[in-house]
Amino acid sequence: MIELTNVSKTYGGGNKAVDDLTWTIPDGSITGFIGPNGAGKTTTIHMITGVLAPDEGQIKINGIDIMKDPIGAKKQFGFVPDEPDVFLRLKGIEYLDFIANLYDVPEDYRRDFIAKTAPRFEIQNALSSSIMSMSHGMRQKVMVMGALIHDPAVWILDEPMTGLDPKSSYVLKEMMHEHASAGKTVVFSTHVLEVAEKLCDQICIINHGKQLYEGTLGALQDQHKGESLEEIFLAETSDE
Amino acid sequence: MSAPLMAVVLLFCFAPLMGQVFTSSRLTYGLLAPTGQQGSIIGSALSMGAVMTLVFGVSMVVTYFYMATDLGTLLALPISPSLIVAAKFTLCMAYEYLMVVMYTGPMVAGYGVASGGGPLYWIAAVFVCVLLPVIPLSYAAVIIMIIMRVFRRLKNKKVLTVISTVVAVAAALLLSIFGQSLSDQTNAAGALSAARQLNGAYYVFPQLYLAQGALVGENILLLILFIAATALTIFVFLLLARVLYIKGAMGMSEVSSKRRALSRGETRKFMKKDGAFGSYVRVEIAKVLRSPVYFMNGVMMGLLWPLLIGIILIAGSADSSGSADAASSSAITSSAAVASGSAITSSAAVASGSAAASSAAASSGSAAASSAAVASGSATASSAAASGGASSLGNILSYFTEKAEDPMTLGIFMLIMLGLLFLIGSMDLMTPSTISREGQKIWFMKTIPMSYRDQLRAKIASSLPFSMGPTFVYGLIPAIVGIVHGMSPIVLIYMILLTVPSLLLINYIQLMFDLRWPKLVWQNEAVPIKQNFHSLAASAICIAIGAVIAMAAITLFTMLHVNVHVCVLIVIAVITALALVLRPISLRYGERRLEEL
Repeated sequence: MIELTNVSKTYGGGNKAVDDLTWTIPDGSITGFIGPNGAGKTTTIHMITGVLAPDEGQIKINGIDIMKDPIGAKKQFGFVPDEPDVFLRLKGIEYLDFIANLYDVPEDYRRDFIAKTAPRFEIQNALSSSIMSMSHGMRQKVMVMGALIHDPAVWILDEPMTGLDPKSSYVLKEMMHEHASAGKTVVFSTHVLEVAEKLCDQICIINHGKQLYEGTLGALQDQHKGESLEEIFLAETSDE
Repeated sequence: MSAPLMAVVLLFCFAPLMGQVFTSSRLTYGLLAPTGQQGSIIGSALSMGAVMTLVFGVSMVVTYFYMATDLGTLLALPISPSLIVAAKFTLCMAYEYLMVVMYTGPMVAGYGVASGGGPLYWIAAVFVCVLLPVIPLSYAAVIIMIIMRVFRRLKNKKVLTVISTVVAVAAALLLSIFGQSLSDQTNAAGALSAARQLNGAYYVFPQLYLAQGALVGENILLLILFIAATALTIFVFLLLARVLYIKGAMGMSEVSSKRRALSRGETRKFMKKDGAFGSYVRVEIAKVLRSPVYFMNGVMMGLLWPLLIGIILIAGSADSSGSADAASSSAITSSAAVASGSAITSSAAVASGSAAASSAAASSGSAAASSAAVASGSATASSAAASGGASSLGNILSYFTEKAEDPMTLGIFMLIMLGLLFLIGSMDLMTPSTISREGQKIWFMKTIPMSYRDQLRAKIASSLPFSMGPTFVYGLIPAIVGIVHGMSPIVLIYMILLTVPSLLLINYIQLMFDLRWPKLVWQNEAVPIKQNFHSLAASAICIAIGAVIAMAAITLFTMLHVNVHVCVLIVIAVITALALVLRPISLRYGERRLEEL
């Protein structure tokens, strides 16, 4: 579970990127985080993952305050960034080994994980190559594997489908379902509302740093009968 | 740093070198004018300029013609290939002008002042200096275009970077060796003979006859012919480029790989559990070793810097008899040695294409050279003079052999080691760029369950081998040679006790600089290394600290007559204390800064 309580973040010049956000991302569900460009999604995700410190408020991951116990909180989640261009000089397998060492993953577990997950993503033949030699989509897959190798309780994914081929997108969605079904937390940001509509149990809509909606997708759709998520989203954000 | 400020800094850094070359040229004119051979000065200036342009042009053409990522974009635009080539050629020319400004220009100006050249001379000088790089650069470009067109396997950026850098460094070393051969001359006749070796360039660039004639004879007809020959060269070059360039450049790949499944052994090897700290250190080292830019600047520079300084100091040291001939010949030879020595400092950076940064590297090398000379060379020089003039490596070794048991010898040796340590440690650009090299991916440091303190410690631990390696190469070998020739073996123990705290102290200072002024916004991984002037500032401060400590040690020994062993131990204690004090300060500061970044 991720709990944000009265979280705000202001950048230099008085630009309030996130304004008094209170949001609980529950276990056992897939939560979609949507908003227009510049709405504050990335800032929020960066605060949750510890990249940015909130100016106000509190963020807890599975009950651990990320500001008071950053190491403990960071062990709770696996983060997939929107740009997978990290550690380009490492081979895919070296990157996964590195992440596994950081999270103290036992040898047997990491070998099993790679043996099962790499074929699922169809990159078993690419892990021996450097990340630099991989396409964007393959790099994304390696990042996803790196985020999941320590079996985190919380998955935080920033635009995870970008660059993935249809089969890999399908595999990732399956894995997200499996993870949520196991009682764990999945939250991801996306611009592809059709994916959010099909995948998410919970939705949070943000614009200009303010939360416009937080709750189940069903309840949102009940409020806007007959409308697609895209139409609802456009309606919610149109007068901002 | 803004462009005008950078220009001022570069001018400030290169002014002493240019001044030295200018003065050498004037003095040599005075020496050779009675024999009527003063035209050789112009010949040498033009030959040196042409050869250096050709040599470094090879790496520059590789970088800008084939390594740049803009080609894919440019080819999709309605621009003729000739225009693309002309633009890239002009860019290379701009960088090559640094060579002209540093060496050829001052030599030509020195000649002009000494000979009392008229307006025609100076007009010809401007035209010649402006047009000089065109022909050698054209040659370099055509050679590379032919090679790239024929050898398709070279279409791999990583391979190309390493090859071109090695070629540039090898060429610079050869130039340095040539410069040292010049330094072995002790009279005007010898210097003239040595300088004429450069005139072999005239066989390759016959147009230089026209340029030389235009300058020495103030002949406008020859100047016009030189301009025409240059224009013809450009015309032919563009024709050839239209045929050779595009097909050679298309298909350049950043890195190639073979897709294959991991074997069971490889899986076992790669999936071995290790601690987070050790794993982090290994990854940091791998990032440096596998990047050509970081490898050249982190590994190779540490090995090359002491060699460069050694060549400059040894080749530049002259017989101290004071004769006019010796002084004059040394003017040519030392300028050639400095010129060729400085070539090494620029070579690897030029090969990766950032001439502004390579100039900064050269200038910091010059600063480092002079600081190192202050820190360690002056004592050597004065002792050498007192013993009757040790002017070559052989003489220096003889001196150490004869005086091996003299406490002063131990002191001098340790002083040299101190200077070497601070020089090598300061010139290693890995720690001063350790945060900058993260770039926009610094978020990774902030999202993993490893404290900032441990990550910073791991970064320092990964940078240390790159400075410890050269330290042992350049320190251990002389120490062993010294011990074999009678020096006390305690010098080895002193070296070990001095090395680790010195390098740690330097690393902590450099780390703080990079934390304070990280350069995180970049697209090209060369930027945090070679366009990061704060790292040079950190290096300069570290060298200054080394110089202060060395001066204090010299004062203790010479003026307060403290025993040399006690002096060495005091220096070790002071450096160790500084390192111990700075460690927690730098780590705490690092934690705070990483939270802010």
